[in-house]
Amino acid sequence: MASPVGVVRSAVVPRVLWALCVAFVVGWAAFNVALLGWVILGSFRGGSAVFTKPFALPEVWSFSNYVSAWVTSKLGVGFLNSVLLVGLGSVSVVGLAALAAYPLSRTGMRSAGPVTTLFAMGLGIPLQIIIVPLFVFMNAISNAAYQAFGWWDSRISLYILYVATSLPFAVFLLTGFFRSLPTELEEAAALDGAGPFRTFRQIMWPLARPGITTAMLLTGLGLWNETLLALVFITDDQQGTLPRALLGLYSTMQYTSNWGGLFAGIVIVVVPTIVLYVALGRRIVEGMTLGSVK
Amino acid sequence: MSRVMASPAGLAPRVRARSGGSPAEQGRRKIYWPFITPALLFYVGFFVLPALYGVWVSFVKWRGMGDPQVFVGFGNYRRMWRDDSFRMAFTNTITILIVCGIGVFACAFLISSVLRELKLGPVLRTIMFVPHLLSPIAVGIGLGLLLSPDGLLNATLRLAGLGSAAQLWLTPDWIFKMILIATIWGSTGYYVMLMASAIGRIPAYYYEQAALDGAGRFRAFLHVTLPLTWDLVSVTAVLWMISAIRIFEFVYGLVGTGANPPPQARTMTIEVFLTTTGGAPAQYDMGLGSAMAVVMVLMTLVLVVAVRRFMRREALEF
Repeated sequence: MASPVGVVRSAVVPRVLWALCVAFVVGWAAFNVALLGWVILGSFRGGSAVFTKPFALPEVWSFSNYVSAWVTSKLGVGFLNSVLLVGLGSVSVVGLAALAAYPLSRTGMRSAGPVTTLFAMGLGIPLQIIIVPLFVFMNAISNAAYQAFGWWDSRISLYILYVATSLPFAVFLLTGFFRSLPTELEEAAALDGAGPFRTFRQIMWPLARPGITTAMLLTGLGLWNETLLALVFITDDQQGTLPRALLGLYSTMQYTSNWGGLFAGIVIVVVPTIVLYVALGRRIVEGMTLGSVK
Repeated sequence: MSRVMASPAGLAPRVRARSGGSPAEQGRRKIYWPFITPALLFYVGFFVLPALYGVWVSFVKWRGMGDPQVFVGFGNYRRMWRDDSFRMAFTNTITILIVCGIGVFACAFLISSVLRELKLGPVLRTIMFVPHLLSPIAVGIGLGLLLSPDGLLNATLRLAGLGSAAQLWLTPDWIFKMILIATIWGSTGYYVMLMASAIGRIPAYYYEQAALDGAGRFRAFLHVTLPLTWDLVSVTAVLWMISAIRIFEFVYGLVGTGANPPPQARTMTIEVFLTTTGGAPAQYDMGLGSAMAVVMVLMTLVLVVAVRRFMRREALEF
């Protein structure tokens, strides 16, 4: 393609190459659609038809796979646990992160820089390094709780860990966001005699709402997909999250070979995310690309 | 989910006047500690301190609660390097980092350059982004099913009359190659999105000028796209390093959980999981697992610093 200047170049080769490139890109996207379509179709098929007739439409559209995944394989319980943990978790994370991000990004305190960096460091640390100490620590907490009250729920452990591990990203996103907000309104409010807490609640919080929504969305997405911590810290299936239940279903499937149920399980895990993406795609993409583009 | 990384320059808040300041600034100083303490306590208590404790655990022999810790110095690290399955996991992670890194960036550049000129570009970009959003466990399992003996891939090959090319894709011989391809497929969409937004901000007249000067698409890429997106590439290279070292759920789902995955299919993260609380039966070798995790952190650190050094250029204003 890079022919020397002055030489008449043939237009055929670049055109063929370009057509190949376009075909590659379109093929890639088509593969994504085909994979999703195959999984959705499979979720309606009975028994082994998933593999014997991979291209045909299901003969009867039956929801029995969904029922068996939801009830027998406990994906329903996992779904509720996930909703609970993701909901509580992301609200707590964003609440704590917004409180911290506001003064971190807008005061000239000497410690603001180092503290912000401390939070950002968490973005690069693999979870594996904290799992062993936390495993031991959470065991100690639950033992102590059992001795004191005779009760502990490992979902509480998971909730605490979800908040701690999601904070770095939320703080990072929100400090950037608070920094981009104009200062005039804040000054005006302070001159009018509003205290700092009131300024935050009535001026800054509403101004920051788009950023807070984005942080909530991304934290929620991340927690919905989180699996490692749930695998390590939850031992009782009744307290498990959805991805953990899906993995459980996968390992039993190897023996029961009710494959349709596994396909239904994948759909159950994936559909809420797709719905969210269709509804709020722009915001999600903006949030995910924001930090690195700026 | 992969996380967005800051450029260090973006982290330091603007320093304002040391003392006094406007009434709003004085107010903010009053709430400074009360506002940041809750988040800081959570984060330090359940993230930073455990991470430091993890470094300590890597120097002891320990099976967890109730077992006395025996200090063994670098014993765990020595044991780790003699362990064949760890060496394989280490090599696998490095291979994913490099091979998939090259694959992801090459594909992302190619795809975003093509999408720039297609009418359907935004739609295709949206479709390609989806795997990045979905639960990596679910996507991994879906791909595992696609590659299973009677899965979609082999069925398609047989339908096309290429039945002889059908393989048992998830056997130890093939599985790591599949993991490499699958990782490139699963990660590229995100980088396409990042590149596309950077390419979208390049003024069209650069490309028009390049075309007037007789540059083909390849040269336009070399002389317009690449230099004007270099900043972003260096930041995304850091992002890639971090997420490649962390990759866990996707591979774990792809491989299946019937038993412990074969060494060929393990990354360092999976190896740590199997050495400590995962695996059947769980080994609870906390010291060894922590030593592996420390190596992962060091790798991340070294690579991030190296990439930033190596790729730093004068930012081009446009």
